[in-house]
Amino acid sequence: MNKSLAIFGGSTLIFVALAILMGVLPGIWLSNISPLPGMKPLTPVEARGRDIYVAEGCSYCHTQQVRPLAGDEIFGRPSVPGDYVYQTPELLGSERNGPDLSNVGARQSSSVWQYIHLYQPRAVVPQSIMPAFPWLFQVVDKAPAGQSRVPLPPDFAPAHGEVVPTEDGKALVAYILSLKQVPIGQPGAVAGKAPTTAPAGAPAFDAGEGEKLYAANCEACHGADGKGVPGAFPPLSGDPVVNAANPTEHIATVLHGLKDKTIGGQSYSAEMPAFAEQLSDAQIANIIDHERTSWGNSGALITAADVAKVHANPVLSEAEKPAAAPSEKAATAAAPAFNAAEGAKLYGDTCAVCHGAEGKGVPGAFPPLAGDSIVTASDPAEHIRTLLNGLKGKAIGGMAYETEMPAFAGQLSDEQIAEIANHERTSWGNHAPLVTAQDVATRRAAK
Amino acid sequence: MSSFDVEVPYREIGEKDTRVLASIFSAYIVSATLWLVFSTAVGLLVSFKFAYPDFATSPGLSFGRLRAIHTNGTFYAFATQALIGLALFIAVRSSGARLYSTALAWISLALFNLAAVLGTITLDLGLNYGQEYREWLWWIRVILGLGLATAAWNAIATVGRRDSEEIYISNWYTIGGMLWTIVIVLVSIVPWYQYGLGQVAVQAFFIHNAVGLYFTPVTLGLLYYALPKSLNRPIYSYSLGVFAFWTNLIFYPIIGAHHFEFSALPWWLQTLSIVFSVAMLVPVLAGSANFLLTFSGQQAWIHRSPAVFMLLGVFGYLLGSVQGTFEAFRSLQQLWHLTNFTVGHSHLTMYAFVTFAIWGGIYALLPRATGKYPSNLAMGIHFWLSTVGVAIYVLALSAGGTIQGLDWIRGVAFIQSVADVAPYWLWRSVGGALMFLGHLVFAWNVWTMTYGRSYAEAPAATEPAIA
Repeated sequence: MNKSLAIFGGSTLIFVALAILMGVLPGIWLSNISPLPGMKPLTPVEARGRDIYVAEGCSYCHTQQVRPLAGDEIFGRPSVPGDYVYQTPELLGSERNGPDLSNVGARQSSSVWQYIHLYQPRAVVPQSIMPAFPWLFQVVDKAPAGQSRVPLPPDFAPAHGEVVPTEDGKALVAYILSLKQVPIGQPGAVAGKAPTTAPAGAPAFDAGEGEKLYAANCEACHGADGKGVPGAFPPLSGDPVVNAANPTEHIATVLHGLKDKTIGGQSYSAEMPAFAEQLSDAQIANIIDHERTSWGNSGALITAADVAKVHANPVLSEAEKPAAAPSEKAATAAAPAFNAAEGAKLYGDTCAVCHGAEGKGVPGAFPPLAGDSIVTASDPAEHIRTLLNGLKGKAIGGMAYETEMPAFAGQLSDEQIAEIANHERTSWGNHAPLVTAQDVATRRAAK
Repeated sequence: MSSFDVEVPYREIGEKDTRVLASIFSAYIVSATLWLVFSTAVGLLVSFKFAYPDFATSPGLSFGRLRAIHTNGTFYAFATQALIGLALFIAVRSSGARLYSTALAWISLALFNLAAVLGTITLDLGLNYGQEYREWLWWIRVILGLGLATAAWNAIATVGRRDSEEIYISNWYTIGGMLWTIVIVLVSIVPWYQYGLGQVAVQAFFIHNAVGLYFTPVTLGLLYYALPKSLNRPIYSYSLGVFAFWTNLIFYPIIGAHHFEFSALPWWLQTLSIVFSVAMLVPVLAGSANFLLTFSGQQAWIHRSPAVFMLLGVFGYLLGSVQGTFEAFRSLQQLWHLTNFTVGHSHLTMYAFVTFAIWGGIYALLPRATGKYPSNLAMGIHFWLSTVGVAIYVLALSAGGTIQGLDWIRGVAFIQSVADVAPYWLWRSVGGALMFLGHLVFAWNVWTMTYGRSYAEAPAATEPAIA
């Protein structure tokens, strides 16, 4: 029996130790991350929707993890630990047969589109292989007051009656639309830069780029062939606004969205989102020019400068957006603003000589910052303290460093230290939550 | 190291005990076979939904519910019941002692089936824990864990009655695998450290260890017994088996995070997992070499022996594991992660390795217990249907997954990547259909080895193996 004890008991003991080390301890540590500024827990309806998402196995084909890879850029910014604070069960997924959904609430914000797509995906995306979920809907003679029917195209609508979502269906869409990444960079920075890069003179239209942007932002509703979805999303092919010589209304629609509009005698209940915050003026010009030159359309071409002009027109923009603005403004104000270019420059001037432009440090002399536990910690206190006060004779990752790191409290402002810290926390594979100048000021005062 | 260097123990037990053991062993294998046929029928249906998404659109037959029924059914019903049945048989025969408790063996089988039935029904009703490969609700996983605990108790107590000093190496692996899996089940159930990204870390640990410290060691234990037994020669190196046992135990638990590369998990945790993915080559190459060297010089007649299933299983182990190491590199994960390549990989390991080894073990050992033999022709048909099927399956998804990954890197519209893989998904269904036909033939063979009529022409191929 002693032999049994040694082999079975000994190996199990070793495994228990490794299970604690590799499973339980990382679990404890990463279960206690703080949420990103501006994040809210799920509402009861959204949480119910998540249960439906799990029950129907959505996560077998849809990931919720944006990787810091070029191919993932269309899905949002790279995911950071704080994104998952309110996401239990975690639904990162292992297979991506459908698009990533980390930011789908921002990318595909139309609930009408979501309902049609869940009822029959092929009604809006002909090549889709997603299962249909008709059991999240019911067919009624007439949609009850206060509830709108799902505007299905005739080919996909039931012969009699109207389709309305069940409570489960509504909850699932509420959950899907709640999937929005909170900004950690500086929103709007791209759009602001656009006019300076727009070439003067004749309209320069990049057809390939226009087609790609249209596919990424517009095609889901208006279709690759510009025909829209009958009764749900208007066609762009032959549309008078798209073909008008004066592009102002076309530009304003893409910038600020549209709601409850009757086009060609058909009223559309689906709301078109505003793209002013998501796309640069140059990108919007490319999309508009694509629409104006495709599917038999022949509208006059426009330039990024035209978009900038409409963008700057306070009458057009104020009139369209008062309702949605306040809550979003509040969220962006609370989020740390990080100027990536400034951070990179300050790092290059101040830190790169020792820690290297790639954050790899110099083996045995200066520690690497890429993957460093203090730099990537969700609590930035130690990171900020080190930048303020310097460091000496510290052992990091089993390696003792003799060289002294200078204190920067006397040379750099709180803002500058925050920029450097944020550059380090978001570069070379690091993705720790950002810090603000206020955080630095607090640490400075605490010293 | 011991007398086992020259012999694989196949000890006699009393006549009545032999009959009891045969009935238990038969029940485990028949039950496992039913679950194999059911779970892979579900898998086949699911695969056709990629080409025909509007086929069988009702909640209970939907892709999102059936996928989990396929994976959990093959893992925790088929493979678990077959491997534990084989492990109990090996514990008895290698120790020369009768089974510690017949009642306990029946209780384990009943618990496994209870868990599988409840798990299947609840998943079909949409009751899903939401974590891949542990979708069963926690209390169903407790039933599975109790099944493993009773089986481990039974096996340990049986080995405790052995007539020799040494514990044969197979039992190290099989009993170790059962005990470690009980730990894995516990870690996966306790909720206190499973919030947000913390749950991702636990899932990374769980998903890899459920394979690497459960199916891998128990299957290797089976091979260490059934392979030399069916070749009628000792394992090439007993010590190499011991070495692989400890290295597998220490390296495997560290590599789970390679399932979440480029995610928000700490970068160092991901890097650590990649380093130990490379370290896994040590036990994998040691184990594979040990088995292949045991084969050497036997090619003349192997094609008519159950050993051919185990030979394919060893190649599945070698290829699948080495592929796993390479897949862990960031450069290749960029291309293959989240694509269908992963699905091909999991079938290379769970099917070409684990399932083929199980079949080899059953064909080699079940006739020894029951005295009934399968038709050699039917065994051959089973072998070729499953081999050609899994080859088509893995090649199709490896190619399709690579195209998917390249599409994403090129930045074409996402739906294009779906359209481009479509023909490969169809080929996957073709491979899957062949595999499923193989399972039907296997079920027939199990029938002839247990409750049906034996093909008594004790096959020439296995004759030299009868000790």
